[in-house]
Amino acid sequence: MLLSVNNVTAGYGGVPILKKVSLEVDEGEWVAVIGGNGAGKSTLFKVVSGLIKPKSGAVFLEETELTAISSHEIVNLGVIQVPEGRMLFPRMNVKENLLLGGRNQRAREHVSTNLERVYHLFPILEKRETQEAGTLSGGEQQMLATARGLMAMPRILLLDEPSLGLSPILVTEIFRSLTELNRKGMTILLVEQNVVVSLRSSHRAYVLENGAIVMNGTSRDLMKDERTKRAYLGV
Amino acid sequence: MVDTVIVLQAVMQGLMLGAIYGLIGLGITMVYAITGLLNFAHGDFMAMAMYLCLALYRHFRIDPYLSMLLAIPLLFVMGILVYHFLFRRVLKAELLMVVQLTLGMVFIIESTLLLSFTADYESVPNFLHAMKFTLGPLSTTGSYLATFFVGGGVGGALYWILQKTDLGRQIRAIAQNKEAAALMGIHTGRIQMIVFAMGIALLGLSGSLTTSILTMEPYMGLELTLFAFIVFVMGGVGNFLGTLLAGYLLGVADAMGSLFVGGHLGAMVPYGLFVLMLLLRPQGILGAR
Repeated sequence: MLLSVNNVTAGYGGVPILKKVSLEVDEGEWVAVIGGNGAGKSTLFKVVSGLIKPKSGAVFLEETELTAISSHEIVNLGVIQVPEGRMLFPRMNVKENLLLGGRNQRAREHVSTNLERVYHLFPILEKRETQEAGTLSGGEQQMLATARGLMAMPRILLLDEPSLGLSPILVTEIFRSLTELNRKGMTILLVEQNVVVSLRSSHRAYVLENGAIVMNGTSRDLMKDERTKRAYLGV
Repeated sequence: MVDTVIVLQAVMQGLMLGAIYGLIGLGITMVYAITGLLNFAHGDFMAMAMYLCLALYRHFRIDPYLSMLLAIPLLFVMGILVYHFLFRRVLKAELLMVVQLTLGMVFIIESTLLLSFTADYESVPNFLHAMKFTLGPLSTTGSYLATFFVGGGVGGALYWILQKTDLGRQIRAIAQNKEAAALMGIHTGRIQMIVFAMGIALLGLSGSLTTSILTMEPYMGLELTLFAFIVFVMGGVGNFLGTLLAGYLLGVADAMGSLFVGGHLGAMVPYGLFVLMLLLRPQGILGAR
């Protein structure tokens, strides 16, 4: 397994938000974690990225325990998060945001190649190169956030709610780019409230409810499952 | 009546010292931008640098411009130690804790200087101080010119570093979103420590440059800190370029105060300007966007 989350319990202060969560992502896979608001999806990513330490349990990238090292070291290993709400650097221009994305140890030497690649994937970003990130439209900001993540040459890309606040057309566009990336071998772990789009594009999925995994399986099976249908697909 | 030449002369001197006020303020601005902390002992580190120059001059006749080569790295290391052992621990504490801690440092530093050097007013000449330079009717000394060019040059260089280099981008990234900066693989704790130490090292430079211009006394630190805070706020809280420009503005205000008003009342002019600024343009000269 490329990434394994083993029995993680975590939260802020005394209240646990994640309760004994376990999941696995294999090389080249696209795995989705679906669930409603407040299910603990973002907390899960914060644990994987080392922004918060779990109360118990551990996260591994192959043999390396991520929960024992700090955020910048996790990034240097290639575990790259595109956080919820984009978290761009609003008063820096598009190019500076991308350069910051590509400055970790693994990616540093390939900055110019990577820049070319993300500009090819999202041509609008090249046009906006010298514009401040805070002035971009919502869709452009999500593209920049994704591109900034790709600049880091992820071994696994963690995407937190990439569809948030985007129109259906833009959501389709973003997911088309992600599908293309995954086909070329990029491993993706996605957390989303947009269940339909997530299940349609991913290979496998976990359902997170009130901080615990309640179901998992191939995305195709979950799409047909009566319980998911009723709870998330509104059928 | 005060004639034009004298006014111009004062403006020039104000601008020259202003380069230094900008540097002192920039340390405060950078540290605040990425840690949210205010260091009330900031100016006292400059006083320490000046007294270091005094001691080296008294005992070994070393020129302050040469002492600078010791003062800058020494203050950088002091900055690292103070950050690591004290500041880092109050990063998440209440604001008042930080104020208490740094005011405590003020008293320790000032008392130590008083015990070691007495309360006498001191200044230390450098090899350029006796040299006169004239431009038309204006004249100045070599040490004012050196202060202006070195101080201004370093200020410009720092601004360039902040805008154009990877280190500068890391600093600005932390200032804009610390969590996102960590997700870029930036070692935020280390950058915070380096920036704090850089701010202190700048005082090593500023102190050594001004030993012949500013009169030193053990309690000068807090006044310098106050000036630095004014520059910090006038520049637009966290705005690097604004801070450097506000330094020049304060320098000129200070010079005008001593020229037109003089004495203790004249010393109030910069603070008057500050109050006026807060009333008319609270976002600072360039404004915090």
